[in-house]
Amino acid sequence: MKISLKEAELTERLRWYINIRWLTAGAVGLAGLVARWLRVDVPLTTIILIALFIALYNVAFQLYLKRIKSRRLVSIDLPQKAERFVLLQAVVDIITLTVLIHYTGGLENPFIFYFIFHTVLTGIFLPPATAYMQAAFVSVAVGAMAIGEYLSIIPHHHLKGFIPEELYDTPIYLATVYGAFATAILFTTYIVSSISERLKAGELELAEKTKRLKELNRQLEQKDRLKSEYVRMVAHDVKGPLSSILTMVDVLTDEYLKNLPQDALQITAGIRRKAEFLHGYVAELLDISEIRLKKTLRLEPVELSALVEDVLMLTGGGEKGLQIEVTIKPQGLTLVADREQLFCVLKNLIENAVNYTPEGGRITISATAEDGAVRIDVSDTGIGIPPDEIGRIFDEFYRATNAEKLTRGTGLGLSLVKLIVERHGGSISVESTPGMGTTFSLRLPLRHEPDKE
Amino acid sequence: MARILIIDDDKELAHALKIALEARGYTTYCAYNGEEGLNMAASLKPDLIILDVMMRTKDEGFQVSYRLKNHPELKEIPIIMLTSVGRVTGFRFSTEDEDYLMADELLEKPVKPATLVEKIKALLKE
Repeated sequence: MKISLKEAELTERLRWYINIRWLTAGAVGLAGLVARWLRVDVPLTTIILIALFIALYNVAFQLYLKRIKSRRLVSIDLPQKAERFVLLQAVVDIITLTVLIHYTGGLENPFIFYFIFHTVLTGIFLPPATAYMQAAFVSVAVGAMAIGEYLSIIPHHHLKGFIPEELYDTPIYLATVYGAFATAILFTTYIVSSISERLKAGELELAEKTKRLKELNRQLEQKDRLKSEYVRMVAHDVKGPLSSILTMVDVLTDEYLKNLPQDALQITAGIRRKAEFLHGYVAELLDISEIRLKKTLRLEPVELSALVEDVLMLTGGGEKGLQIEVTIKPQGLTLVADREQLFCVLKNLIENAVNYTPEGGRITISATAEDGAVRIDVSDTGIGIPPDEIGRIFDEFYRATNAEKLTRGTGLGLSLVKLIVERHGGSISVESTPGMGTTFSLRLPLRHEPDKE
Repeated sequence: MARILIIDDDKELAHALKIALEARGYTTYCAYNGEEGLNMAASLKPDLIILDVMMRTKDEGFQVSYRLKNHPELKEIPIIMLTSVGRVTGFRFSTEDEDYLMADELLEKPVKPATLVEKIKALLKE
């Protein structure tokens, strides 16, 4: 199986491997110096030479990595290249470390267990088969060194002052060290490889799932769009004739009023009311589907006091003797938003407040600047919302039971409000006590940065 | 008394408006599409034109008003344009967008006969 890590991450890890080697080269040289200072009989020149050799081939590796990175965009076989590169580094490291161990006491040198690091690294990076081959290579290299030394084919460098001489004369000890070493390498490879394989498989599966989810999401969005387009078309086609009906009923009552019996007048008034309700209903449906279908907001600076004034001109509430209070702090508070849509938000909220507040009640509209955002509250002393229904009032077509009894409505207003507020990167919340009143609170960023897709 | 041309593809609505306007003494003619409207405007030279925006296409009314306002003999005739867009979204326009709109007055549907008559009176300076 191929390494499933993303390319950027892959090169990042290769760089990390190389950086560790810089540390190693430094540490080897330093350890030699410290050992000498502690009067251990180490071949300092050889150690320094090996440290320099590590640094030298690390420079070569670094240059090679740079080359891979610069060609990343055109190379599709980066994973294979990276695999080979890791293997090459591991082999060179193993040989170097074996030589170093050989010059610093052979099997008795506890630093022999540093081979574990290579085993872990190759276990993470490479396919299991290669990782096991690497483990075998380590065992063979160290074993060959140990046997070569023991049979005096190559000299044994004893570290006087660090390792007791008797150790080397105890074959059973040497055999045990080697056995522990080889099995440690083998088990480490087994553990790391299997965990890493599982992780890679999980990663692949996750990538697959994410892809499927994205596709499903795209399909859903498309369906939702189709639905909105359909609703818009129907609403538009119904709205035209309805507005003609309204005008025709008006002409009928205006021109023939005097000739019509009382009953007929009642009927025409009924027709007008029904047609007017339907017209308002489809107009709202048209609004909501058009806003849904709109991909972009027409952002411009909107001064809140002017906007609230415009809304109040339309929805007064004067005939009910409502007391309307507007506080905007600081004066001239302005935010960047889609003016028409924000107008629609305030119109809906204030209209609701007017509709559901009994005569003589009070409506308070306040706006304040709040760290990078604007908070707008619309409060009334109206009928309130039943607590068990408050969670549903932003749903399309939902109307609270007490509101339903009071007026006819579409149940679309608040869902539209929520949609617009969220489009602007804001949020809306509501607090209400039945019989006491309701407060809608908006939080809108002063300047909304739309997502760039 | 003034002569008014109604251009609207909704025949029933055009007739209802004709009844309302004739009851107030205006002589009223109806055309049911843009082409017919332009021809009748040229032959009748009405004092005022009531023009629907959306007829066969979304902007047929705009094309009619553009041609009327660029016609040497007809460009002085005031136009009242009837629209059903211009709510929350859709194209928003006002009488100030002269380049595109070329209407003297804008009325959003549904049209109230009384409002229509007010606008007519204002434009005809009656």
